[in-house]
Amino acid sequence: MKLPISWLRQWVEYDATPQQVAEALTTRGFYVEGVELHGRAYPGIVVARVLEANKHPNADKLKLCRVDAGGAEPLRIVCGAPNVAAGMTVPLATLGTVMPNGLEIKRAKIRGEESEGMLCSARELMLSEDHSGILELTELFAGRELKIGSPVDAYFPEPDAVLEVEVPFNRPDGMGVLGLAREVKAALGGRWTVRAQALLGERSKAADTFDLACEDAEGCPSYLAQVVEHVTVGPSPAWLVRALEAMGQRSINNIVDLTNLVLFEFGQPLHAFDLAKLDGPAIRVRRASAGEKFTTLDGKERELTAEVLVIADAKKTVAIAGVMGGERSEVSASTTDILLECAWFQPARVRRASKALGLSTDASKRYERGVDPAIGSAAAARFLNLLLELCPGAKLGASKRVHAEPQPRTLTLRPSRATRLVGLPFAIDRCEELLRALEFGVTREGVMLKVHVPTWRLDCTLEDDLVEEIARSNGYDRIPEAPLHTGGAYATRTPRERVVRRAREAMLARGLNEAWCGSLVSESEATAAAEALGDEPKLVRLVNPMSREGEVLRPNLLPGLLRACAHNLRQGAPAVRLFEVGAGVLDRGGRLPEERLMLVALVTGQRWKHSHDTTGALKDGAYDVRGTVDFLDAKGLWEAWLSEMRVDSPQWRAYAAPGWKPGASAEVAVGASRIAWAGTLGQSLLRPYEIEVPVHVFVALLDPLVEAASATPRAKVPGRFPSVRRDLAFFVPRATTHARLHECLGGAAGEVLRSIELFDVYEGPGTPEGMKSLAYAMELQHAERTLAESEVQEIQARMVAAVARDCGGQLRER
Amino acid sequence: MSDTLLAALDSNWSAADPAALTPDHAARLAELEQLDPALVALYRRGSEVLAGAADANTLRDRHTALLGRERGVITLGLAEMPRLSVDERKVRGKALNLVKRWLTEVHDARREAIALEREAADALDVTLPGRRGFTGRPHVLSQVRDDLLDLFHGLGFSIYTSPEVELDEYNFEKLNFGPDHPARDAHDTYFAGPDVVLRTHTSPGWVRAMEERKPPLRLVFPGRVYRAEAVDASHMDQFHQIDGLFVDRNVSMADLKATLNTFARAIYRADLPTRIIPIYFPFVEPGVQMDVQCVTCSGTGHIATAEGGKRCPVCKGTKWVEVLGAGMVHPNVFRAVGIDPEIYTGFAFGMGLERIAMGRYGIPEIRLFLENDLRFLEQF
Ligand SMILES: [Zn+2]
Repeated sequence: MKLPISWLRQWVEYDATPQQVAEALTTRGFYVEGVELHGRAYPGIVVARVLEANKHPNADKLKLCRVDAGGAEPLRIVCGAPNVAAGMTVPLATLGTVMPNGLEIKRAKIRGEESEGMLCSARELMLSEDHSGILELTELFAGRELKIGSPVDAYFPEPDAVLEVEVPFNRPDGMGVLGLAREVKAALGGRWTVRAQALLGERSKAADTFDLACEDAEGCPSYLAQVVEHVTVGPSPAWLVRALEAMGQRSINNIVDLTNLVLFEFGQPLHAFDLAKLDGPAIRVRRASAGEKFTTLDGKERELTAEVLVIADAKKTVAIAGVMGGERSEVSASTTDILLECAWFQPARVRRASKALGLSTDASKRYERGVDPAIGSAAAARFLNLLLELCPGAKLGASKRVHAEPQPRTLTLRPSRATRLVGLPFAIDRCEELLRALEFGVTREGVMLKVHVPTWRLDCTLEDDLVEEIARSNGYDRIPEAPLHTGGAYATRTPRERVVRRAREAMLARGLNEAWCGSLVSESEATAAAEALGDEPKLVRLVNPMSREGEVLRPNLLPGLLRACAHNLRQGAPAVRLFEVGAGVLDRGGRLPEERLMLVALVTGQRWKHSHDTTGALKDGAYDVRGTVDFLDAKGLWEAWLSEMRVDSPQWRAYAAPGWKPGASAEVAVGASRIAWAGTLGQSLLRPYEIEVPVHVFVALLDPLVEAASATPRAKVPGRFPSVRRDLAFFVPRATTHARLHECLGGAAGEVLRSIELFDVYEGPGTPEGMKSLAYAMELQHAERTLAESEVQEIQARMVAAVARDCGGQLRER
Repeated sequence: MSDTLLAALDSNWSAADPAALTPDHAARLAELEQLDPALVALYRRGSEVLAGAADANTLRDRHTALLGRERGVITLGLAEMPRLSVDERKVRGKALNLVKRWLTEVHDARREAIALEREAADALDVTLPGRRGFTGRPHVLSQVRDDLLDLFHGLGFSIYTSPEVELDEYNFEKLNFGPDHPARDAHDTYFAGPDVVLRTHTSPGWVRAMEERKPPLRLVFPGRVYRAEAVDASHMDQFHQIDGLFVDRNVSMADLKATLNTFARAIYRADLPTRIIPIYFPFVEPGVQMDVQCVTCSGTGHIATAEGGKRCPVCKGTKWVEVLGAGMVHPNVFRAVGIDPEIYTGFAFGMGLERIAMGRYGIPEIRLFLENDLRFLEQF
């Protein structure tokens, strides 16, 4: 909402600068986003007289002028305008002037002749489109004495300061200058102007001579229909054009301009119909018939529902109540008689109609938020008086008013409530004073106040609303800062929060960057991602997505990380290592979908951030730190992460699902529950992102880890007796997994086994057909004594026997 | 005698002046000349070949030849002693021991020097890059969020999480947005069903927390929120908020002001001016907006330019920048969750992580946050 100071001054007498008005409004809840000067100011442009205008020695179309700008010496100015001649009084932009179009005037040589300024056309001053020649100021300011050398600003009207006010949703009264004037008056201790008092005291008089019927009293409790005959539709007078311009409203014609003027003044929407186009003439306010078609002013045909309130004449619908008029009854240049509508519609009804039709207008927004139900009469009177003034031949015709008095609202205010909520003592006198300044009616009842709420304050329905009035009128800056206290509450961190924190930190420690990815993805991305984790793709779909790329919620975090991976690869990143902690959303049949907390990590590209060979030691088959991350590199990261998450002996099992590279994906289980997936992604998941390099991912559900991570371990004293190390290699059938052999050896060794680590996998010369060799380093230790060599031999024998029995393998003799 | 011993040493061995290793070399020779002139040549030659050993292996060989326990020159010399007279033996024994000690000293000094030379020869180009693994950085929004959560933890606020996909009832109705409330328009809402929305703010968490728990409640509600808006440099349809809530018997705006100022002092600057002004949200009454002084223009509203100055583009000349919304919990919200607003009062606040991060780090575009460009992420 724009608030021109020129408008404000017509309503309130006060003593303050525009900046102070802005400050007062802002600190009372009407945020002023800026103060603009409306109207032209031309710093640097002065009144000058052309003394001589001679031909430029080097250019036919230019003139070399000597110009008196009030200084001791005349200035030399090169000018290209055809009309420039000695004796003219002209605007001169002096050196350093920044023109309205942003151009700065500098000393310049034009075709070899120095120019010390610029003579201006009307267009250069943005006064009009006229650029045919230099502006003659004696014509523009006819009858006024112009002093040579004085700033031209002295002759233009003073610019008007216009405040850009953000009106809070609950204060629709602030959508009119009247409402803002009330705030300014209360804030600055101002008075209504005589004019304001007169305007507020005016009432439109209605006879019972027009055929008006409100068939929906709930939707439309108040309606004035007033005919004005013999109007002349035409351009508005200059004062009206200028006034609207300050409001940012273009002039259309006198009728529309007047409805806009009254709208901006009182916040009351008015509508003018061409009376000739109303059948009857009559007005019926009623519900639309379901399926009824109606063409609104914007030329669109709309289908109405019975929920929509319409204005109809004797035969047909002519407007959607409070939203928009119809094409057929619009005022046009040929209109001679109009019907003025000044109505109050139920906010919720207007809102529902506006939503149902997908049509939101300035009028509908005001009605939805609530127009002052008592202002209509004064607003209509203002319109009609001005109309009769602008169209001297016009006269009032038939009229009728339906009006239900708005219910008066009375609230009780306890100053103690204000004191308690604001934290600042409020005496009853102070409460009364502050409320009265805002035109609340106040009567005392012991220690309480009975407060009569003005009709325009639709927002005040509870005692606490009055507390806000008191708090803001008194000034939030006066509220003290109390000592901090917690009321006995104290902060704790839940096990789940701790798991999330540890999950993030453990992944950061592995050298992965944390990503935050968007939750909205395309359906195809979501489906593929859900299937990769074996989830039925019951996606949560948006009813109103902004795009196909964001039509469903992510079922897990794979799509976002793949987008991020693809983006970084396109940017030439040599390695992408990212993880995210967040929720995957899937419909599991509940009222709300399940939000499953997970960590997803992704790695691709080089193994080390930086590594170079200084020794030439890298040979064929050696682990090359300069190589790219493979399955086992990635698995090492995930294993380390699981270990940091205190996951005890996770079991890795081969896992197959769409989206993974066959034979390179696994699931991780603890006991019976699956907690994670890991592996190399397959082409079907990567292709949509145009990723052509191997990508290794890890998906871990965090909720199953909460218990493990929050368990308190019992301390174990490290064994103090010497341990025995044994390296054993076995030939086993190629299909036997490490996990199988590892478990077999562990079982056979029994409780003296302290650790068993794989250190070599070999298949080649010396390996029996169909077999491979796996070599393990074992450490045996007894808790209470030193192991005897015979015991070690016995354990070793048990292991060899178990491998032969369970895995079909044999000890590889050296 | 010395000649026979000398013959045990290779005459081709490189030699060097031992004076650099034993500064009193000349004095030793003179002393030996006095004591047992027959050993002078031996010591001279021995000390010179030790000093002339180029590397550790050569030095070891020469040490063996001179001082070796089995076949070293000194050992050979001592072996000849029985053939001497008692007096000669006395002198020779003393002199040999002296030569042995001195040669050992020369040897040790030379060994030390060789080790030093060796270390010097192994000097590296210390500016070569190290073999370096990757480092992971927390996301910039995580850092801002964790700073805030740590601060509020210190102020006694625990974390409460609530769903991102939320019922209309919690996102709007119980927060005092009736079905026809015009303020719903300020929340461009993504719908996932007739009564299901993607939460437009983190405030539904208060409702859930208040339904679940009894006061006193001191909670913060971090999370992602959604608005159905077209994405551009300054708008995202997904962003992040932290709400806070304190409900107790006598919570006032003065308590709110204390908490908000503590927040501003900790997150911005201890002496940065702040102000609170009224604002409207359906779920609080009275409503509060907190602004901090614009740091771009130092609260003047304009900045210097080559042309002499212009209006500050950050605060648009208002001198203040909005940082959060707050207020006293609306009595209708209390009633909706079954808390008696006559017994309990409470304050709440809510702030956007992106806004704080953009201000703190000078991040110009909001969409950078979810793009996850490594060059962006690794800066923070
Ligand atoms: Zn600023």
